[in-house]
Amino acid sequence: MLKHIAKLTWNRRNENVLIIVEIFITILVLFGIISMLASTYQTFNKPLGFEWQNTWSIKLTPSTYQEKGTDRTIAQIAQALRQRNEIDKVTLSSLGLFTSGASTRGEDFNGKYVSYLLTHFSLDSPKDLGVTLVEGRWFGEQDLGQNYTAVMVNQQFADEILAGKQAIGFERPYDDFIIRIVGVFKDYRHRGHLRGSMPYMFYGHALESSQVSILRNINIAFKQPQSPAYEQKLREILQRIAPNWNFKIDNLKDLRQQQINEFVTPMMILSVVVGFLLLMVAMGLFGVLWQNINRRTKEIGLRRALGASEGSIQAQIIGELLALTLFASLIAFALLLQIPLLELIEVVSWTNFWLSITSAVSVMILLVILCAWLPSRMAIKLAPSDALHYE
Amino acid sequence: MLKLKNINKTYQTDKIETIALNDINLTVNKGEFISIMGPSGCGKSTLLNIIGLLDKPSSGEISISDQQITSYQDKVVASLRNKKIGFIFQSFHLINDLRVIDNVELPLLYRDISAKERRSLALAALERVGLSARTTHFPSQLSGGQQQRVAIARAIVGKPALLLADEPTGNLDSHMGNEIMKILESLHQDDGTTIVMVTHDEEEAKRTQRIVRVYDGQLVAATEQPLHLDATA
Ligand SMILES: Nc1ncnc2c1ncn2[C@@H]1O[C@H](COP(=O)(O)OP(=O)(O)OP(=O)(O)O)[C@@H](O)[C@H]1O
Ligand SMILES: [Mg+2]
Repeated sequence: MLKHIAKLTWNRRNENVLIIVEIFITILVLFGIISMLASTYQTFNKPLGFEWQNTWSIKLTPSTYQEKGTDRTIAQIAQALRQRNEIDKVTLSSLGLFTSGASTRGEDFNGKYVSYLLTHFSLDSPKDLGVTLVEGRWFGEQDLGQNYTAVMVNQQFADEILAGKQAIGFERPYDDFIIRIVGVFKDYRHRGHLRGSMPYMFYGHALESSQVSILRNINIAFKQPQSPAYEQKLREILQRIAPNWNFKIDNLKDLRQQQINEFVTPMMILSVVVGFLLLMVAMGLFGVLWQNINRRTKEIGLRRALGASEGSIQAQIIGELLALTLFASLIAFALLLQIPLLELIEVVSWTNFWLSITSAVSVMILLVILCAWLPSRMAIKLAPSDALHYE
Repeated sequence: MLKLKNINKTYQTDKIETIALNDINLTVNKGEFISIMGPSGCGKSTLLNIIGLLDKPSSGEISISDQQITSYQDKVVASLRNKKIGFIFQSFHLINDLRVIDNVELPLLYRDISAKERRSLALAALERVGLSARTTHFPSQLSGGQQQRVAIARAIVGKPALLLADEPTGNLDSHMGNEIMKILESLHQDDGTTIVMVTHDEEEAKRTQRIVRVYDGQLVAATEQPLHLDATA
């Protein structure tokens, strides 16, 4: 019977091409949707690399008149906050958490152009933010007054940019200074759940240094959750030190939620569009299969007159279509394989590829069975004598 | 061999009820070759379809090879069609995308037979209808008469007890029709096959042993053919 199906499928190759094309396109569409969903899901669920619970952020905007002494004022603010009982940790950085802002550096590294993210911190901040140390050490007093500038990099930086070289102790000259890697951290996705990881570099600065003037984002982690009413108190503390400065105060929980909400709305619209697309494709497939099976009503009548049971006919029709699905899947596989192979699209990693291709083909198989079931059922339910005269 | 008792068949379409067969009683003996005649629309095909288990009667009883059909459950009738009955149609009904040999093998696909045995049975059947030289042709590469011979080979490949032919020469010119009739006669005379044939052609009908006439869904007469009586006596 298998040989019979193979023969028939081959002899009907001209008609079957249409079905194969339809199935092929459907697989591509499914692959696209699934791999997009999977990569979004993966990105979303990957650890952020820092703690945000019970933490508020303060964005400092110095007054335009008071340019000098910004660094002193920021250090004073940090000092004042640290003395508060209700506050557990105070961290300072050049970029706010859960904001889209980022500073990127691109450069030639061993003859290869690389780009990575960059954030400046006060010395203790990476550790106090709950960043995970993988190798080496945090910034410390021993880095001050040296002939190098201490930096930390994330694991991805070490893996991709240093590519196997020993990370700790790695040095690299810049115009008028040398950077030295003192520690490797796991990751720091300061832009939130929706952005993927990138190579990352931390600079650390002592609170006494003039560089502190660029650390305009302060995160305060509380020992206990604080009510929104605390904001007023916080403002009073801040304004006592810097009366003309502007302070934007947010709970990181809210910033995070806001970011997710801003993502969810377009995603909802997109899923409706994608849903429609999928429906159109499924309907196209259904139409093609319906027409194909309909055209074969006579053949079905004949086979039954010759003694085929309903079950064997249904099995044959579905078997034939599955053979076509297999064929279309192989073409789709060969084509889509180029994406991870040639690294064409970043989000389609090997894991993502295997997941997406197997799910797309599985969904396709289900869809084909579903779309073939009804028309073949209808053809079978005709009396063979009627099927033989079906036009 | 074949026995029909009080067979009725009505078709219900758009509130109009067509009585296609009205209280048909018919017995066909083993080894008999009979023809069914009657004006267009009188119910000949309906009768043949019911005999061939391609359609269910509205009421009445049928038995084939002394086995009464009590159930029209798919598994049961499919197996009976496959083993007991061979069908020849006016419009051949070959599968155009299959070669001659594969068309002839079709009924055997639904039996538990090895591919090798299928092939040799199909070749023998083609030999029987004189088409050994055309096994790898596609139906479209054959003349109408040759196509009908392929259909006959397909009908006899499983060695059925009963051969049913609905106007087998209806689409052929008289020369080719004659060829087909000769094959049917030979199957009857040499192999002892029981044949029921619907025809519009008096000359053809006269070559069979008995003519059953249908008018408006009823059997009106059965004429014995003295010429062939000795063959079944
Ligand atoms: N599937 C069907 N549904 C409704 N009516 C039908 C159906 N099949 C046959 N009939 C009707 O039953 C009657 C008998 O039809 P049948 O095909 O048996 O005639 P016939 O004697 O074979 O005619 P012909 O010589 O033209 O082939 C006709 O009136 C026909 O219209
Ligand atoms: Mg007819």
